[in-house]
Amino acid sequence: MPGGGTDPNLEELARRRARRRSVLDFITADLKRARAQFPASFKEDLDVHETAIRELEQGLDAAPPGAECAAPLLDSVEAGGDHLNTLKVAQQHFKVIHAAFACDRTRVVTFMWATGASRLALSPLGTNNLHSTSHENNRSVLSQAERWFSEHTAAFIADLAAGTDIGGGKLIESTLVWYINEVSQGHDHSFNDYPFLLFGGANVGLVNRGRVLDVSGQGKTSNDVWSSLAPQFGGSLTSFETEASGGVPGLFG
Amino acid sequence: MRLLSGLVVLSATLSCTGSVGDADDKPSTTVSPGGSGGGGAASGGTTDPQNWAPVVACEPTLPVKVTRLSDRHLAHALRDLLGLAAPPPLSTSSSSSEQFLPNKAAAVDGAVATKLRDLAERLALEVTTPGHAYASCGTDEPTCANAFIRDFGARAFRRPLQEAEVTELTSVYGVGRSSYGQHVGGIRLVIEGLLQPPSFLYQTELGSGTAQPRLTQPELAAKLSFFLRDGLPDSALRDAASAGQLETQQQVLQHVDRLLGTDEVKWNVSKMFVRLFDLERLQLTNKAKTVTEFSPELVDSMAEETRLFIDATLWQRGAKLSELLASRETFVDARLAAIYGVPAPAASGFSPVTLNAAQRAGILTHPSVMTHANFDPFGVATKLPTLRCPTRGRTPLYTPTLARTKSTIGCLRISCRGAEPIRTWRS
Repeated sequence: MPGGGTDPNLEELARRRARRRSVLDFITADLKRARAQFPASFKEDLDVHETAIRELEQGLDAAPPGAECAAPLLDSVEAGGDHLNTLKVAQQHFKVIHAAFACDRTRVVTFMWATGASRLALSPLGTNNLHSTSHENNRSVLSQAERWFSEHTAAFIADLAAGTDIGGGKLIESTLVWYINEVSQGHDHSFNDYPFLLFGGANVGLVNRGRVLDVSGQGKTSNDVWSSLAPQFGGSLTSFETEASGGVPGLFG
Repeated sequence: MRLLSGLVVLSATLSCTGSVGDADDKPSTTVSPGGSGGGGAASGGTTDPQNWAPVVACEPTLPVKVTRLSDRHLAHALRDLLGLAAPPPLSTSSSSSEQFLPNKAAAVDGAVATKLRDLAERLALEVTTPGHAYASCGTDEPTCANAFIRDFGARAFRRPLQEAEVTELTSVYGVGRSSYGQHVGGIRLVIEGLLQPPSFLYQTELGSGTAQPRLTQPELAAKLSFFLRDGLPDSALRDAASAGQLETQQQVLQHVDRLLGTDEVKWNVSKMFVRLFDLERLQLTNKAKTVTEFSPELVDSMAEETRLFIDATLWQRGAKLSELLASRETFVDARLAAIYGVPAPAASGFSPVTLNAAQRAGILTHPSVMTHANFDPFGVATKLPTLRCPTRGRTPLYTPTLARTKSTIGCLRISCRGAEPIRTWRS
């Protein structure tokens, strides 16, 4: 429902809530009948099921649709400078992204911490020029820099996990965050054995979250990840200008 | 096939000790000391000379059972119920769709409930688009809605709906009709509602609650169907259950034989053995480069041999189920002929062959099973509990069926390491 919290959108959301509540009422009645019939040994499973249905109901009752849909309060920050100023700029972007998702103004965002081949200075971490440090292949400093970027990215993901979606539930439930570096190896600009990190909630189709899926040596590329994730968002990607092999089996289901 | 029929009926109705595969096809009950064979109450009857508890032919009892449908069964149920071209991809439990015995599906937690809700909403929309049978109503809408609720609900829940359920679903229909708009909107929301509650997601074996408990006929129909069809009961089985025509063993066997005559059930039963031996993963087998005769083409031949063997044994020769474990009849192509030490077929492809009775017996000695079972030495103990790798200092291959060949099976070169050949006879 791109367009945000307009009256027609909010009316449609109210109708959706009514439909889901009607279905949940029926499931709850069926759970009650099941509890009367099923053996006592199954009580624990029914308790879990009942809790799940209650959570779905509470999701309907939580924040009214669009409660978080508001223009973000932004700080005035000049671009440029060191990593600490870069963080301030990034945090303004994160507020805009959060608001855009919460209002359903967009469904796709690309965010880069800095430009490609960035010469960002992270002096306390041991580099005044991240690009040069990557060519020096100073693993210790590079690891600290990666950790710094990742910790602040994690804060943004946690913010999505706390934020309420316009249709109910949390923003992260329907959001997939694909977190990657510019290259797999900085010193030789390699793209081989590229680690990707995917974060997402229950609705994005990730199979068995909290795991490592090793597809090294199988000729998989980032195009294959795109092929596999596109259907989760109602799309289809079948051809690319560069190498692809049809997807990554077992990633989404 | 009668042998398999016996297996089905026993599993569906009796929990007393039974024997499978009697020549006369009659399920037989046996007695156990103290009723320890899973049997029922004992009273009167014979007494063991060594002062065991009195034993009698045991009364059938019904272990009350509730299980959440595995992802495979759930996907197949959705396919059957909604008339989909293929089962929808699902991931709500930890079981692979190709596992022979799926792990117990975890309870429906928040993540699973959300997935099921979204799936139900998507599928309900898909099957109520204009042009679909559900989208139109030839008579007045309340009548159409009521008929749909009763029919679709009975198929989803694998039993007739209670009146309270019909009333509740009529209310759901009203909300859907108002919210989505028109009759088809009401039908759409009813479908969403019927794809998420326990009565759809759980398979129950609660029985009739009589003095001598048995599965209810709808429960029996569902159990038979999930076993044989891997999906929901077809209309004939459903009608029989509704009409009370699954009462006698003969009535049940008629449906078992009817189903076993269909291609889909033959395919599914054959597939059970592929799952049992985990042969879907045979293609993952690999050996060290020093095993020069090993190749992907040989793996393909192994898989095809076992497929042909199962097909011929179960469906063409009409052999007993035990022949799967004892038969020396199989199929070889040139690659496998070299492995077995038999002449290669004159023509390309596979030809039937009778193997040396002193060396081979049934599917457990197929190169496919032996290769794959030894692919993961730790998997041997878990997947085939009676199969032990001799090179690890354990008991040689031994099963009751193969007891007579126990001393010679060990001569098959079973290897636990990828560097060794694994399937030729060592004279």
